[in-house]
Amino acid sequence: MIEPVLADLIALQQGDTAFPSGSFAFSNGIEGLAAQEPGFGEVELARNVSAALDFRWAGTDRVALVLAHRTGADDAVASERLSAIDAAVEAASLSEPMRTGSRRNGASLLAAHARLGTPGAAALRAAVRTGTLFGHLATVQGALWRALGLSEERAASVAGYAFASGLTSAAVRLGLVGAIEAQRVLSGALPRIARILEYPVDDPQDEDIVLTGFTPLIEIAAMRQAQAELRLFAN
Amino acid sequence: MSSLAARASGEVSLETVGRRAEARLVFARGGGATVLTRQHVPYPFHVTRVFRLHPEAPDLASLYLQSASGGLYRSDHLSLAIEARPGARAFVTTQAGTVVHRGGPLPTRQETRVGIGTDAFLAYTPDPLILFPGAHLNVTTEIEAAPGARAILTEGVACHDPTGRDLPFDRLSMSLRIADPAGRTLVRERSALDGEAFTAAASPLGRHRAYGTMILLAPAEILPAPRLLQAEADAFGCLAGASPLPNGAGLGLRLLASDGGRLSAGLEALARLAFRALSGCEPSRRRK
Repeated sequence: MIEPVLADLIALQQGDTAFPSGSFAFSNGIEGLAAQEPGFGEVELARNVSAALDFRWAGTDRVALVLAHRTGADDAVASERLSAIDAAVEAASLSEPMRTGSRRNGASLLAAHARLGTPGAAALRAAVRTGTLFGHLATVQGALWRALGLSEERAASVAGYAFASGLTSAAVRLGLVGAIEAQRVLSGALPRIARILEYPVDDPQDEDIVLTGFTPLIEIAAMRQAQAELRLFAN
Repeated sequence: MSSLAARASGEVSLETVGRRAEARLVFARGGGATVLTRQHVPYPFHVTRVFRLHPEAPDLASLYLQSASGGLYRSDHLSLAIEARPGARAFVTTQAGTVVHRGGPLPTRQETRVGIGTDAFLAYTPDPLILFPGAHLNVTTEIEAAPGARAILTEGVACHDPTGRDLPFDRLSMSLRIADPAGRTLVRERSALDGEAFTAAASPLGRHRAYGTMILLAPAEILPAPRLLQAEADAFGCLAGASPLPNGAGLGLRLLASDGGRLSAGLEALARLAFRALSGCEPSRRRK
């Protein structure tokens, strides 16, 4: 275990938008929502950030991240288990733009950590290349941040923050809200993230990894936006 | 006394336990036609006879599912298994939406298991489930499709308060699993939300109040383009998005509408479009 202060600093580094995680390329449905909803602004952003946290991140990404963190990738058994968690994320993601976005974001994060020499990053990257791992963002975050010494709770906190700030940052870059409005939305999301972090994550019974999610409006927006001729973000 | 307490004390009534029924329909190909070779349809299920509604496809069997009891009630546990054996072609639908009445601590459970054999075609397009105030529903759909199978499966939910007070349902859980014949999971989706979240300002449905999904399983080259499906939904005042499913399972579509009526019309239009693409013939329906 690392010292709590050092753990806090590592968590800040991983959540920093200056860290080359690749997340800047993904709006996770915000661009599509804005395209289909004229006048999309702070109120609409706040509602959709809440819905995405409650009905996607809480039961799907967060659960996969926590299970991946508990599993790690230290040996062959753990790697097989990690692949099963990752496959469950794949199977639970019906919307192709959200699914491929999660995989591509995971690949970007892995590439950065492999170059930084994070323990286990190169092996995970090889597993993605050989097809034994899809490399979804949540799975990769869980495995890598465990390797960096972050606790399960800290890793989930950083991921929740990064998820919400990714949505608000995308809205700023799309010109939908200003920086102050985005921070107001993010501030409003923090207590929600804190509450979600209190939800227990049970270890799977009978190998059945239970991921739950329900974000039809955001997914529809992303699916429609994927067919647009002109777009700023990958999803 | 709660249902759980009633069970623990041994005082189990119909109201606390609900009805248990398992229906099974098996379609097989024989003599150039599709025949309903097995049917086990206990109360409250009821089916019509098989109709031949498609002159250009006389082998295609059409069957209407009916409820003999006016909907789903507290703690009911109803299961339906539909199998289309290799080469069979069948169209199964309902004659009206199914009302889900007020529930209790134990959910009302509706389970559907669908099996589609090699080169078989099955369209299962029930009308939407209408959740009344206090409804507590758990919907489970399991699909197993062989290589070359073609299928259209729709599911829809809307809420309605007959008293006009817009009271919400209690809780809704939905689960979908698509597997190949070896049992490998291709799609595994679970969702759960309560009625207040369904209609809240930050609802995952946005301002919409009805939700549907359509799953299309077929060789990729005959699947309709997502853009076509979306335009069809738009024409019926719905909002839809479609994209390939995980693991090459097929095509998945999500649909939102302002109410159950629009949802029903949108799902029917989308199913018609898909029916033409996957079966090669125009869908025909008995007058409801």
